[in-house]
Amino acid sequence: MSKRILVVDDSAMMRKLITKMVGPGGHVVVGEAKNGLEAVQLYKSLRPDLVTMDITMRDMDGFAAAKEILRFDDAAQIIFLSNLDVDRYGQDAQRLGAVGYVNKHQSRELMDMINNP
Amino acid sequence: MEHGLLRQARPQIDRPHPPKTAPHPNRNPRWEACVATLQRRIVVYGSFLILVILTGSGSFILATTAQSRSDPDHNGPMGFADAAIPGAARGEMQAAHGLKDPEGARVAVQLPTSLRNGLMAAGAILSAGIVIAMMYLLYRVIKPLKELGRAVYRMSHGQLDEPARVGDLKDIGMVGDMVNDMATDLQEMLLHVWNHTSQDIALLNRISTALGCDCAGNRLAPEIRKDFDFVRQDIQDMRAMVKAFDFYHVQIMNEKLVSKAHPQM
Repeated sequence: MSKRILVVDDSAMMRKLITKMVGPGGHVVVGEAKNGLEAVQLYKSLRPDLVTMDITMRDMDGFAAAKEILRFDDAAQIIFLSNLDVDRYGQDAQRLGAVGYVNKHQSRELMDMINNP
Repeated sequence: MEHGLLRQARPQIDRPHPPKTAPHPNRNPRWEACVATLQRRIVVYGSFLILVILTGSGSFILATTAQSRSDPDHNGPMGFADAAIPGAARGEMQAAHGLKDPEGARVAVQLPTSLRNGLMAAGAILSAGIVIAMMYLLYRVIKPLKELGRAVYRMSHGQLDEPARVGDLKDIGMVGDMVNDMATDLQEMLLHVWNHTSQDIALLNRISTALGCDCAGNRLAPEIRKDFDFVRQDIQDMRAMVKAFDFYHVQIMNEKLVSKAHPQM
């Protein structure tokens, strides 16, 4: 099933990579944000089915943005996508109410999680 | 020969032609907007500066000319009151300046002292204006450029931890923002390399264990062990390169990537 995805990452290269990655699966990237503030604004206006969220970003980081989005819509589906250590941050992401936590270099796991959140 | 084989073995990738409406890959719309803003500013500031210079110098010339004309002791070319100039010579000078009546000329050029002083004061004020305008321009342009230069220098030395702070997102500020984006992309690539190499090392160790030897490959045949060592060293070199950088909000702690903002999570 095709999903409308909001990609949140401070790296333009990474946003491009994720957009290219999810395209063949039939999903559509409806918006891109480069920090948490933009992500919250775009989520409210676009209401995407799923959000891929980086953690380390300027202005507002991924955890703060996810909290803000979940406060606005507690059914929001957020997948944390980061280079940070999974063991250290994965459980915290789930405790926050996110669908999951995937390391950025694990593209297959990301696609699995998008298809079956 | 080996290269030729490799070239043949490489699969051909069909890249779709970009649509004609797509923007040129070398043209960044943000950069175009930034250049346009900079050009507009240069035109506005430049026009203002030229106007100030012209007005200031005009007032100054007018004031000094008026002074020289009204000064009876002045022997300059416009000092027609000079009694030392013989009648014929004075006539020639008058003809050269288009003045028929020396008395009339004197009446025409003599200005009241208050007006003369006023013009000189205006000239001085406008000159000060020029200096202030130039200093403001230098402040507006040079300071962010200096900061940008510092940021690029830090980046070239592997310090990605401190982004460039060059004020608002107009002209030079926008260039600073793009430099920050470049640093972010570089950091992303390096962290990617770090994570992939972590996975590769774990994989190598698993292969070694499966083959029944220790992590240094001590029970392998010498040729295979040499290859193993080569791959392992390659990976270690890449990781050493990544470690040489200072990252923005991320640090390497016990071979793991940890957020500086949330180290305890």
